[in-house]
Amino acid sequence: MSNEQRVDRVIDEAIKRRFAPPDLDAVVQHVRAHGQRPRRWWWGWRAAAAAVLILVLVAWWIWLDDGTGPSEPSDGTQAEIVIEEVPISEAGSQLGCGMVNDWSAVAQRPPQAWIPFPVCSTENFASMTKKTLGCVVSVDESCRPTVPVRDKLKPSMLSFTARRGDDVVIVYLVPSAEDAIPTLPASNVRCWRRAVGPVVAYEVSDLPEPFVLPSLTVPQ
Amino acid sequence: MEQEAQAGPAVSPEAFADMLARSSRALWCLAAAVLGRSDGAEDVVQEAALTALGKLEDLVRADGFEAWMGQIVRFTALNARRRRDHHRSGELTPAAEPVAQPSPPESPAQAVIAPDGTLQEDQEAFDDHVQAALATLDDVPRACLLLKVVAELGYKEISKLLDVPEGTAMSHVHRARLRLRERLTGVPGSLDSGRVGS
Repeated sequence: MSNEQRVDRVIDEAIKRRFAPPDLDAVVQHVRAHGQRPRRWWWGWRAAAAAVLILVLVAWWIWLDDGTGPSEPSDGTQAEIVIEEVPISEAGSQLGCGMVNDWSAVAQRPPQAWIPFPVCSTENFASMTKKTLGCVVSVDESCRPTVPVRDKLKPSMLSFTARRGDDVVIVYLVPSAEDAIPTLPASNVRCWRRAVGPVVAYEVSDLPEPFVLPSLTVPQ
Repeated sequence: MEQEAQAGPAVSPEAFADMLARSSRALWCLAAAVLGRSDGAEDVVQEAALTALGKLEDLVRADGFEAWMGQIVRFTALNARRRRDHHRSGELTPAAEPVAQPSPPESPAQAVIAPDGTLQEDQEAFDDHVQAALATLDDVPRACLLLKVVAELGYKEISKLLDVPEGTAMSHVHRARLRLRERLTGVPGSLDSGRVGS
């Protein structure tokens, strides 16, 4: 071994003593753990914001679907639905708006023989109301009308029935210009009235509240 | 530290950690070489690794890990050294643990090691002289020497880590050894003339 090699070896040993690498496992583990986190700190915020947005949208959708949420008014009157109950008069025996004279018989609870009712399609109902009343009237799917009945009514009037479970309601639609609040004979039925755009609707049934009237709309 | 080639469009954090584990010793030596001391080298490696982890998309090929990571470690260590130097320059009192900087010997009479390798003083003092002599080297030669001596890398691996030609790495190691011998023995030039023993 040369002197040069001897000196180099002594120097190398000194270098190794002064620059002895520590155990770097902790550093590697720290980096490994750090690598399992999201690479960008704002990714977490993005994910959280997206989750909140999705929750809001789902809640909004459920709220709307539930029917309790706000809805876009399809006509000018839907946002201000006003339904008034028409008092039943013992004196009256006719519908002042020209309904059939034997209304007292109709006003009784409809016979069960009417069930089942053929259901009027949305298109047919819209077509019928357009032809009869001069404007399209829509009704909610939950209370779809049976086949409209026009027998013995004025040509500009329309009546139909709808079912809520085993209960049946009768609805009359009349143009506002021809409206006259009817009087009905005393019975166990109730009558409600609602003005929907150019149409006035009456609902007669023995239910404690109107069933069809709230869902009537007249699209613009 | 020979890396198996993992050619691919990207390197996962897990693969990065594996490569870091295999290269950590060499990277630590590189950091210590730039710092000029072992203190703080571990922190530099960790800081550099975290920096690299956030830029993994820049590492297109796994077989380019050494050069890429070596550069990040060097830059990180340089910044740490500048911060340290700046901090020291702003101090009114000496650093708590000043690095020993003994004057290198100027002549054989002042040599801290005899031409035959015999120490002229105790080992601790000799180690201080070696570290002081190392401090006189430039960063790259010092890094080449530490990677060769401490990390025991081959010249090919050193050249990858420092992104220099293999012959350059070899030359740096040779010149660094020569420089240290001259400063510690006080004998300029080669010592080959005095062979001793068989």
